[in-house]
Amino acid sequence: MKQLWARIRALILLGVQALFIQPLRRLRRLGKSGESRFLEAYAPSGLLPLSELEEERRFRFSGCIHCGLCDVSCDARRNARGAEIGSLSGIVIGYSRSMTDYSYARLSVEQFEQCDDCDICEAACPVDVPIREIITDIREHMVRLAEVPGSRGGGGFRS
Amino acid sequence: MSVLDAEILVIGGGMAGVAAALSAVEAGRRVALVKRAPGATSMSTGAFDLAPHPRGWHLAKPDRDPTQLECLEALVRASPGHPYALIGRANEAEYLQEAFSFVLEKLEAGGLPHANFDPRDPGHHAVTSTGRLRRAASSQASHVLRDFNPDRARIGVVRLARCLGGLTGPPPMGGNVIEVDWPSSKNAPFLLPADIGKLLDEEGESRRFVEIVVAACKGRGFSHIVLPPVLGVFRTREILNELEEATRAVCCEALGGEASLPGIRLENALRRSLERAGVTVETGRTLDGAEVLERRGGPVVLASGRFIGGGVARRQGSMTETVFGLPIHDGESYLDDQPAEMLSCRSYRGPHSLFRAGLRVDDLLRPLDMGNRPLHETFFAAGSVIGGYDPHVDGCGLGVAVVTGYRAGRLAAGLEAS
Repeated sequence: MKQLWARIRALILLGVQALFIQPLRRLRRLGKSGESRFLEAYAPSGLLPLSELEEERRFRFSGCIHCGLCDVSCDARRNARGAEIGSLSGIVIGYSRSMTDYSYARLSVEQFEQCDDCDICEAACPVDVPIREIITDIREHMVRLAEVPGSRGGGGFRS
Repeated sequence: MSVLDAEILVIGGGMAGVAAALSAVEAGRRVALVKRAPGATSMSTGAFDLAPHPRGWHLAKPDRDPTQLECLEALVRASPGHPYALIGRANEAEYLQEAFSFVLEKLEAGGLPHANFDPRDPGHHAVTSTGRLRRAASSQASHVLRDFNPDRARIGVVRLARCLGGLTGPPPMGGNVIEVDWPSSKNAPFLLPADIGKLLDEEGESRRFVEIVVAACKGRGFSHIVLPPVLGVFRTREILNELEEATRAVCCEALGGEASLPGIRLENALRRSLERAGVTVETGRTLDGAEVLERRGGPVVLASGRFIGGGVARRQGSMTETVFGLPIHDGESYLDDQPAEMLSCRSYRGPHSLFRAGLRVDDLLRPLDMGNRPLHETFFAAGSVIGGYDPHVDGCGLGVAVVTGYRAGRLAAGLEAS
């Protein structure tokens, strides 16, 4: 008898969940897609879902052997004193050290606004890393981050 | 003139390719050189090594070093597939002297003086980027640890506060570290050796730097002061002279490490040597082997490098030569289609097939096909695209590049025929 009452109670609880509590929850979330909830949760840390293009790029971007030849041949750095401008190799290295929040690379890109899209760095790279694409990729990522409400412009990594 | 129509075509612009181009020009030929991008030469330490101490420099006693010729002979005995073993003349002191003197003179004329080379001596002293003492066949003059007497030397090693690639590791022979807080930069988190070099090329900055180093070393009684390899891209000699005058000690640069500035100086000097010799140079170009074979009747020297230079790479799982698709050899056997993962072993100094991968050549430096026949009478190879040795563990990277490059250029020009 006790068992029977326990079972009936369990069924009632399930029924309340299914017929009232869950539908009320769904109603509260109405209009917000799964993606927007993901973004709300993770964008403040700088994490965004990767597009297929970004996935494909990540493989090609990771050949850097840390030789620093891109820094040496960069025109923008040649015309500035080394201490006043960020490091170009820092962007590539920062990219490969970051998770998909690109945390280290974002800082490096901000310190390197002077890139004017010549191709000297890519010509100097022994392993053909597509450096300009990396810079473009990160800048696009930063723009997308800034568009998410509440992301604080991707302020997850700031010193 | 398209480079493909040149009298002699050199593929690759590292030490081996440039040595070949220069020796062919010296023999009166018109030479064109095609290169893709910087390779291993541009990252070298500033030192030329012919062959290593047989038991490793870290075990060597400073006062009882073998001559470089003895080191080379030991290397050839240990590695019968080594390029030095193939070129009979590589064992002759005169030939080595000829090849090295030729290249080093060209570099000096290109603005980068080097230490004298003599294979009958043990080589000059130098300090590595990790603070170890060793010998080298020749180095850029700024690296030579002159007048070094191990019994009486007191060594000071200068470390710069925010320099990437500065000296790491304990100083040699129980010396002292001198920390120098220069440059003081608020913005950059770290500075590359080339950045500091550029800064020191300005007279005002180098004067300030010299003052700071002199003050830090005052009264310490150093006989030798070793600095990080950052003393200007162009004004190295002047800065060292100022330091030596003010400190009354022998001053030198350590050899390059990560982001090597000496490697960049060497790359610049090689480029200037090609210009002075009137070689037609094309940069940023990768040649298609089939096109080269179709259009060319004249001699070709392939000096495309190995993994960094891109002459040998892994394609579809196995190792191949990248311009002509030639088969890869490790000094003992062909690698065939073996996956790269099977070609290695546990010990760093062990016989890694992978790190000896390259072309098989005959004693006239001509690449061989699988039937051991030269592919073409006037098709030569030089440098690390040749297999059978490990440039790093065998301690002979630039040595092989100089000897094989010099010889390949002369062979291409019709000299040194068998």
